[in-house]
Amino acid sequence: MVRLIDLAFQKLELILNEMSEEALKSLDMLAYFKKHHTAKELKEISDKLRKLKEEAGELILEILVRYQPMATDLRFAKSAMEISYDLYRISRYSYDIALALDEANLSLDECIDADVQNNIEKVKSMLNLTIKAMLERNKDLAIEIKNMDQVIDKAYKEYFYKALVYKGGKCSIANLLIMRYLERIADHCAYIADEILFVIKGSK
Amino acid sequence: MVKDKLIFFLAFISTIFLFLPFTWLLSVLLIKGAPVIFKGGLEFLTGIPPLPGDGLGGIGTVLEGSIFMAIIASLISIPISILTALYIVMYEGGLFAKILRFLVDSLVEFPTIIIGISVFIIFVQNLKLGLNGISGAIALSIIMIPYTTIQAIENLRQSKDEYLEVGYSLGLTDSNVIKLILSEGREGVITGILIGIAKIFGETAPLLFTTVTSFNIFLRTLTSPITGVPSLIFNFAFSPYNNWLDVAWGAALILALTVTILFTLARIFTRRKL
Amino acid sequence: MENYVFEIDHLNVWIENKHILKDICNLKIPKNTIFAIMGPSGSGKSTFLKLLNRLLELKKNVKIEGEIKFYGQDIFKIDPIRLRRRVGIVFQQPNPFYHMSIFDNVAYALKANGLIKNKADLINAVTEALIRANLYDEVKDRLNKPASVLSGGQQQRLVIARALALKPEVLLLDEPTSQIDVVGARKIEELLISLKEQITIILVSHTPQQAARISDYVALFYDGRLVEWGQSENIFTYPKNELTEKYVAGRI
Repeated sequence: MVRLIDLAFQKLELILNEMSEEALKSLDMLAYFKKHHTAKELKEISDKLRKLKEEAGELILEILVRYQPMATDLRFAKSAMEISYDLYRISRYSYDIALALDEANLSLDECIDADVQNNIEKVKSMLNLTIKAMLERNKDLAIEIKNMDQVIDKAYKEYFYKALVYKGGKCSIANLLIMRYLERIADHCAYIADEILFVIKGSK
Repeated sequence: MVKDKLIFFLAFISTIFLFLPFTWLLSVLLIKGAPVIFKGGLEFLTGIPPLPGDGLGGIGTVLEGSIFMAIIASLISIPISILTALYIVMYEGGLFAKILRFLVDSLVEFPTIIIGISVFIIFVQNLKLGLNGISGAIALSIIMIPYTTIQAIENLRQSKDEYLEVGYSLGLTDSNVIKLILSEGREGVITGILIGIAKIFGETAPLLFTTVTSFNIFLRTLTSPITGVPSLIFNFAFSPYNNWLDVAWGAALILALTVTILFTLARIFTRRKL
Repeated sequence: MENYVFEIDHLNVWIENKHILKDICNLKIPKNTIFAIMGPSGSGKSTFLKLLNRLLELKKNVKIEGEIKFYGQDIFKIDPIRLRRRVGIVFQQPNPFYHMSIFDNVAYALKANGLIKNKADLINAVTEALIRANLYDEVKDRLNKPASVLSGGQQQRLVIARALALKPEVLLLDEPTSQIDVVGARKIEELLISLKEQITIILVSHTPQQAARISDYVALFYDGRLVEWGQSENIFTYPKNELTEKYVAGRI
């Protein structure tokens, strides 16, 4: 027999999957940044994720009320709430990056340097892994993601100190900003990894 | 559904068939007995049965005898029944309880005429108790005990299931727990007693062997030679005298009414438990 | 050891040669808490409960091995009558004495046990028990009416008052709300919470949700074994045992 709560969880997972895809898309779009156009599209994605987050939240409340979940179910319900927020934040940071570039009237390929480019790829693969870990409830992947987050943190710090002494004008500020937002996105991936571990093990 | 209707129809028909003999019996009793009682008035209940060809008289002597025997039989049966039932319930599953239960069950089915003969041989002849109300009551009590006991068993078992653990859980001692079970099951026990009395009130066979066949003596001492209503009916109904036949019909109606009242009381007590 | 009311170790119980409780080890019931026992039917939880005030021994062919301590004392060395006055029990089906008045239901054990002989003291004790059982306001004007006039939930609280009249230190409850409507059940749950300040409550619960609502500690029995026990918030959010997980999540 399928438990009633599982039917509701299937719905919830559908929402989370859609959010993951959209969040990935937003990062992808950053890599092929085009002035004006991209910022607008990223805003649309971010708004959509915000709505989906609300939807997930309502569904989770309904699950809590209807089925009074316990143990893994309860932890998943709680984590899904957090994860939906994290995914929304990721799309929002992507939009923030676009907005920063846009307002400085820069395009990404004009001034992006190798370090930033590299980091974008890293964060993208990190988000990919995060989504995979979420779908599979994979403990090892979650731990790997947390390690990757530390690497990104370190890279950001190094870049930050480099930027302090390097005077490169507009572009260097844009790059630093992008690095900063990427670091935040990686943090949210790590939060999701934490939630995955919480669902699996019952502790963080 | 056609099937449902058919079943309902069949049930209806069988109910009518069940009612037919009952209503027929009651009507005959009423038609033949009621005028006699109205004619005799109160004297019918208190008077002495008439001589053949004489007036109507009454059934006072045998009615008194029946009541006397019912009281004595109850005095014997009630404590024995309750104690037996209590034993069977409290030691359910034990060998002696099983034997007792078997005995009680067999006694219900036992032909009452044999009980009459046995009491005649043991009490009337060997113990020289004589043909009187006491001998009759002994025979009747043997008939009453299984009825009362079985009813008591059912109710005390229910009471035990409900209150044994409760009693002990309240820190009661064994004897207090038994008191509690008896007290909470008492209505069922009373029902059993009423059914038992109703049963023996109409019993004829044992009286034929343990009491006399003269009907005009009131109770003076415990061992006065008396008998009960059923044995008067039994004798008068087969007589050729019209006035005796009338008395028999009247007595039969009185007997039927008494038993019905007792059963109704028993029903009321059972219902109150629920 | 003062902190534990009951300590159970290496406990095995057979009824008519059937192994009902299997090696219950290291189970401790902390004082002034609500300790819930959950498990599917036939898991031995009711048997376990009746063991604690030695009601189980009324049954035939019961064999008990192992250790149960009540405040550090071996319960099998305590006079069962005395033990039962200190450890009360309430069953699933409300079973007041239907032939007695509401007052007498509560007074009965006190009178029958000869604990109170003075009429005024009796009235005080009954009133106090009814107040503690949160029933007094509902019945104070009809104390002489038979118990059968009360609703199921009220009857169950009357039964609780009857047990409380003996001032027990522990109250055992065997699925006390499973036969009661929602409102009545809620009142009983609230009552239990208020009682735990004074006494320890051990509750066999028919739903994990109820156990989660009111218990401080919870144990899962499955097929006669103690699967896991611990603080309720841990058991219901992070059960360690897979069986507990399955049971509370409704996968069994």
